[in-house]
Parts: sequence; C-alpha cells; structure tokens
Amino acid sequence: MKVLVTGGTGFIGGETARSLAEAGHEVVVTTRAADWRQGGDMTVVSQCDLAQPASLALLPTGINAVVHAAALADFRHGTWHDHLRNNVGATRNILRWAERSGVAHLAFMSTIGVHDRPWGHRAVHPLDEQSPRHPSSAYGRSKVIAEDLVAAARVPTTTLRLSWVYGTGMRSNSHIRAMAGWGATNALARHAPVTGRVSVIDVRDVAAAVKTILETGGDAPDTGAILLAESEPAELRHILNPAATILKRPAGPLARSVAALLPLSLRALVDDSLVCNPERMRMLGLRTSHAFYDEFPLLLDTEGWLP
Amino acid sequence: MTTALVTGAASGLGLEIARALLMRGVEVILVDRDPAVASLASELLCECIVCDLSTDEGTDEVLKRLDGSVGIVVSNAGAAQKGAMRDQEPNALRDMIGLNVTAPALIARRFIESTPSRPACLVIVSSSMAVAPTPMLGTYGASKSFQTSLAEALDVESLLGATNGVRVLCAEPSGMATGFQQAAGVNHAESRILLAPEDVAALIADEILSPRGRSFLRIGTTGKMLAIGKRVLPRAVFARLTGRMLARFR
Repeated sequence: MKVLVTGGTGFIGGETARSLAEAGHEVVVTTRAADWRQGGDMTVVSQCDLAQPASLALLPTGINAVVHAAALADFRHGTWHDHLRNNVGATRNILRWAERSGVAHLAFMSTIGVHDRPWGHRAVHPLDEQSPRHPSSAYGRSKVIAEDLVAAARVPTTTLRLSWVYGTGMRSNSHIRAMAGWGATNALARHAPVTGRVSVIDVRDVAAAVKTILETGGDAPDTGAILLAESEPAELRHILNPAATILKRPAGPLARSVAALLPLSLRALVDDSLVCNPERMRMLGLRTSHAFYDEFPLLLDTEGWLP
Repeated sequence: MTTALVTGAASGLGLEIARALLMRGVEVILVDRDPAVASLASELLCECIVCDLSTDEGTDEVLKRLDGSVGIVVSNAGAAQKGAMRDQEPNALRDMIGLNVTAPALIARRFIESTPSRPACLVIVSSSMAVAPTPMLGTYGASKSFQTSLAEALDVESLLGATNGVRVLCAEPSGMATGFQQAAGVNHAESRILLAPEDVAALIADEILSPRGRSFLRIGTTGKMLAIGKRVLPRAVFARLTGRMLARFR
C-alpha cells in the first residue's frame, strides 16, 4: 500500500510513518521544512504547506491511503486565524485532493479536545464518541470544523480523536510533558491535592491503530469518529509529581459542583472531565499494548524533559 | 456542507471573504466578470461563475445557481466611477447602477425565495460611504445607501418571519487597501487609514458563522466617526462638512 502521511515529520505523524514503513508499506511524508533528511527509505515532500492549494501539485500519484496528521496546536501564541489556516484550510485541500486522486481511505487525527466543555457546562464522563462537542480552545474549535469536513468528504474516512498522547519525541508543548515540567519546577503544583484524571495513549498504540484501520478498513465506508485511549486513565498528580504516594482522594461533592464553574484547564485538575470510555476502539479491534504507568517513568529517565 | 456564493470575488474584499470562508470549512462559488476568476477558482479548488452582474443575462446566471443548495450569499460586487455628475457617461452610469443596485436586490429576492439551507445568511457589503454624501462619487454613495437601507429592511423582515429563515447581515467597511480605489480613479492609496481587506473579511466571515448573529457590522474608525457625526450634527452641516472633506481626499 502507498500511504501519504501529512505532518509525517512530527511527533504522532512521524511515529505513524515509521511504523507503516516498518510494516512494509511505501510511505510518503510531507513537511513544511525546506530540507528534512531523517526520512530513511520514506519519500519526503518538503516545502509542502498544505494550506496553500498549490502545494498539492507536489504530492505524488498512486496514493492508496492518507493519514492526515499535519496540524497546528499552539495554545499560547496561535491565533484563531493560524488554527483555521493550518487545521481547516489544509484539511479541506487534502480532502479535495484525495477525492480527485481516488484515495481508498483517509485517517484524520483529531483530538479529545473537541469534547472540552467551556464555562458552566456540567462535566459528563466518561466521554464517548457521541458526547457533545464543546471545544474551549481555538485548536479544538478548528478541529470540530475539520471533523465536519472530513465526515462530509467523498472518500471513506476515519476520524481518530486522540486523548493525551505520550511517547518518545514528544514536543515541549505536549500536555503531559508541559505538566511534568510544571510539577518539577513548582512545588505548589507538585503537592497540590489534585484528584483529576485524564485519558492517555502511547504514540506507538496510535500508530498501530492507524495501521490496523488502513490495512483492514481500506475499502470500508466511513468508520466515523473513534476515541483512542488506554482503558486506565492517568492521574494528573502522578504526571505533576511522579513520586506521589498520597492515596487517591476522590473529589467530594463540593469540589465537583465548584468544578463546573471553572474553565476546563482548572476543572480537569479536580475532575475526570477528560476521561473517555474507549469502548468503540475495543469493538473495532484496536488494542493498546502499552500502559502509561509502565512507560511514563522510562520517558522521564530517558527523554531529559525535566529541568 | 455549506456553500457560499460570493460576488466580486476575483479581487479585493470579495476574494478575501471567499478565502476566509474556505478556511472556515465553507465551500465557495466565486462570481466575477473578470475572467481571471476561473484560474483563481482552479487554484482554490472551488466552483466559479464568470458573468457580468451589470447586465441582465449575467445576473440571471447567478439567480439560476441560487437553487436552495447555496446557504450563504455575499453580495459584494460593486464599482464606482469618479467624476462630477455632468461628466458621467450615461451607459457607464446605467451599468454601475445595475451592478450596485439592481443586481443585489434581485439576488437577495431570489436567495430568499430559494428557501436556502442553513446557515441561510445573506450578506450585503455596503460601505461607510453609505451615511455621507460623496461628491464626485455621487451615484456610488447613493447606491451604498440603497444597499444599507435594503439590508436593514430585510433584517426587520426576517424578524417578522418574512424571509424564509434567511438572516441578513449588513457590512459597512471603511476604505480598504484594494484595487477598488484605483479602479474608481480615487487618489486614496497612500492614505494610512485604509484597512487591510483580509482583516475585514475575517470579521465578516466570523460573523456569518457565529451563532449570535448580529445584523450590522460597521468596520473601521472612519465609518464609525461618520455614523456618529450623522447622528449629532444638523443635516446640512454634516453634509457640507463630510462632503468637502471626502472631496478633498479624492
């Protein structure tokens, strides 16, 4: 199978591209960078900014499947316009291109962030694919629009809503890495009575899920949205303070009712608002073979994140 | 998926609105009399109609396309001809009124009649010049007043439930740095008060898709000052003051 992986030089796209190439597929990756030389035996399309329709002319022919992992997730400096351009504009272009070039399946990387709940929304948990989409960030809002475009496309598609992804090669702005760094430098954060949990997934399991979907569901019609997560969520206090030994304190009724008034970034600390039920993923035969609590200490040791 | 029809989309604000809508996941049909719109459409991977809205045949082509599947219409095409009234070519004047007055009214009528799918939004791009007399651009300012007045009337009609669910948005941007100024022969280009068309387009596109849905957007300081002046100054004073000021700009 000839697979195009957009954003194939990034954290999740990169792992996906490598795993597809190892499984013997012909992989083409796109990157906006001018020269990227770590492609191995993958074909690299450089200077390919998918938000510009002219870039589509650079893409090779004969592609059977597309993994659209290119995206902008800049929670600090990214404007609404930047997110629209890179997440919606680029998705539209790649969809139009996929429709024209007879691609058999397109897997789109979305986020559990489309289920964020802004101020005043009661937390419904665990989340599932049918949970309402109420994004609170510009990133999440752009992904909701992109998901709708993907669902309406005239190619079979799968939308993968990733929970918090961890693994080797994480970007410094990844949630888990940022929180671990915060906990390491801030004693208050490290010892705060945080009771919230989040769903997590290993980047290798994401890559394996994409591979399974492309290999088995190649000609199947739309699979719709799938939340990807390990069945066991991670506790935020363990991310903030890997050595935490305090017994788990479930949030009391007071904390829970106050939590609904907090913005999501604070609420997630005391609440399970980003925990999802990966039932659909299991039903479709997508397995996770890594567990957060086995991998996280290794990452802390080897990746050198912590200052 | 929503489809939007944008008139005057080969350049300037129309093109930027089309781009902004595409970026927000809306499919766009570009309408312009400039044949360059065809190559733009193939570049942006969207549909286009090449037709001249100052003529009846051209307008009919657009009316035919409004078959209920188009959920957003941005009536943006417009032109101006600089010069005193006594120097105007009668035919050029007729064409301009066709483009700025007749076409938007017919398009609005057809769009409402077609019972469009959601978000069913009609955008009329008027101008900050709608509130002030525009000496040496007399018919242009008058045609913009017509557009604002039409949009406001339709907005109230929509509140009365007479527009088949169509919501009407009137945009009154102040002067922008587009080819419009040169096309009209207006000596305005070096002015620092001109707005960037992409910023105006982003505001309009966000407003079209916003669930709050305002019905009037006045963009830019010039337009806001003119609107305030119109309210506080006596009619004759406002007309002479702004008329002379605007005439000097040109």
